Amino acid sequence: MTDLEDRVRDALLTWAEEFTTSPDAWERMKTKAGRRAIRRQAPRPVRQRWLTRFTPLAAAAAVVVIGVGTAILAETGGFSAALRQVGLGHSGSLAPRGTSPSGSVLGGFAAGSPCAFPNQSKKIPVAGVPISAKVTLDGVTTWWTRVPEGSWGEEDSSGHVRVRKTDLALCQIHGEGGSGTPERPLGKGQLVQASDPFNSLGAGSSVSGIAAASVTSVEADLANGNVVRGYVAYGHGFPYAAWWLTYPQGIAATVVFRDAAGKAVKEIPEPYPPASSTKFTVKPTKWDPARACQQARVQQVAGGTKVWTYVGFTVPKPVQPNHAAPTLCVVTGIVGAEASYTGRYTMPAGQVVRTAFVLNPTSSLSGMAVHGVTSVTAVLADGRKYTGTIITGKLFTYPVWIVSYPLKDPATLVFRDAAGKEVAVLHEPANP
Amino acid sequence: MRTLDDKDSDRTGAESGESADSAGSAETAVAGLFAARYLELVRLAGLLGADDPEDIAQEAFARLLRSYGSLRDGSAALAYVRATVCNLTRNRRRHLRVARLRTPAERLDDVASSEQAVLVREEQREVIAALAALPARRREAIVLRYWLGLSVEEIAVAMGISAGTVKSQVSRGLSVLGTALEKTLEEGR
Repeated sequence: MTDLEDRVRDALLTWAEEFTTSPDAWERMKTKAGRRAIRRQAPRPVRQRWLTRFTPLAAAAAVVVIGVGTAILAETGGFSAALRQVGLGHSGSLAPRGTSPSGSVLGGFAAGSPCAFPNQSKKIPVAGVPISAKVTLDGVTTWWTRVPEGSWGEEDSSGHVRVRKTDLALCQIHGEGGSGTPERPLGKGQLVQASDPFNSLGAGSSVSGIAAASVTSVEADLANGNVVRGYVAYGHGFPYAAWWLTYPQGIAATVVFRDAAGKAVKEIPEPYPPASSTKFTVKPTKWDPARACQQARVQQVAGGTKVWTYVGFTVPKPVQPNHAAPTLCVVTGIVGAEASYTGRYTMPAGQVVRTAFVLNPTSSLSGMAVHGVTSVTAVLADGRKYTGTIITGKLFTYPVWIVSYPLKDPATLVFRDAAGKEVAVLHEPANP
Repeated sequence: MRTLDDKDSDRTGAESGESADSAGSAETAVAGLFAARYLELVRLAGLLGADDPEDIAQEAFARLLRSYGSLRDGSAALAYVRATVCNLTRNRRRHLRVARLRTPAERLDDVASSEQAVLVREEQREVIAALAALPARRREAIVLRYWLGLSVEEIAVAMGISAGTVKSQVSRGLSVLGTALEKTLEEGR
């Protein structure tokens, strides 16, 4: 038996495990068998004589109606003209876009400053021209405002401070603090202007900016195939569309702007993460530092994002001389992005160990388990249960477990053996 | 002699004039085979690429139930139902291929759930991907040989081809799989 044949057999055995059966299969099969037999014994229905005569007459009538309709439309100038007459054509009025201005929420803004936050100074008077774009999501409130024209110093990438004139500002409030960013007006022929990704939200990357008024939607097309819709708002007297979107951190995205016809008018690639924070390349094949760990790759879908985890054990030599305790090696990352965490853990005798990889809105935990553990379940305080996975392999010194559950909830991880007996318990606090 | 062409399986017990007693014994025999082999045949259909393996396996057993009386003996039932699964899966995949040509690819929707969805070891996934890319006949031969562990003669009966063709299909299939896996490995270096 060759190695290739062994690999094929192993893969087929694993793959076959995915297919299961339903408990009522026998009854359904008998229904199928019976239905076919009944159908075969049933007499063929006799075609009605009136039907054979009526069908050609109906077809002829339809042809006449189509011909007459076409002639009428040709005289009146076609479908567009006909629709215009009833107010549905291109020249008809559009529904108002955006939301109405809400000046009260802008009560903390000060003249001469792009943003002033209510908890910093409540005495600062309202200033500037409020526009309607206000979005609150994940505890972050974003306002756009038009402020008296002024000069703003901004440091560019080379460290030089450039003075720019603008009367536009974006303000975001999250938790106890906030930030304000002056924005340039759009240049001639410019369709979109985007801020740098704002990554201080803990869970997501936020991008915002202004766009030509013809832009009607914005979305982030993520590297994992998911699409996150953003917000576009229009303000009375404000010449642009204001847009804002947030998408999960740790994944590359392309921000796509579309017009009313759905046509993509502008695309902005947003790579993740910045080159300076790169640890390992996501592709396992280019991932050399921990090649010894590459005994299994687990792919999960957590919070709509594909996450992979490499699990395995370091090679016995030279890492573990003298039969030292086995060391778990775990690297977790997001498919299509970068690995964000790596760890090596020594297995304490008779215990389970864990590593954590947090991904909005999911906590994904993994680790080693003692021999005999065949299942892991995360039990939340309200009784919800999330079943994890136990991975074993020829080269695995211990079973490796992985379980995912909602990020913010505390959980109890229960490890059981094949008989259902509780072997170990881990208490995981809430992850704010 | 009863052939394994599933066109013949359309004959019903009623048409062949079987008595109520023989119909009852057929059902008992099929029930026994169903209990013992249904899961295996569901998995066979799945490994051959059926989109609804249970439906394929049920249809195969339904045909067996209707045609049981015309089998040469009870021992041929397993080979019959196995061959029917192969034929039905092949037909189903052919139908899906045509249907997909007429339907635009679906866009992935946003997913809000947080549960695990996929779990396959990387190495095995590469083998599975290479296997799924094989032509239908080769894939059938490989699955019947390495998953069900059938002999060349049994595979020949299930696929309705000669033993020599089975050997060449298995050999070529393995060769293609080996090449595909080596290529994956080289790309990874």
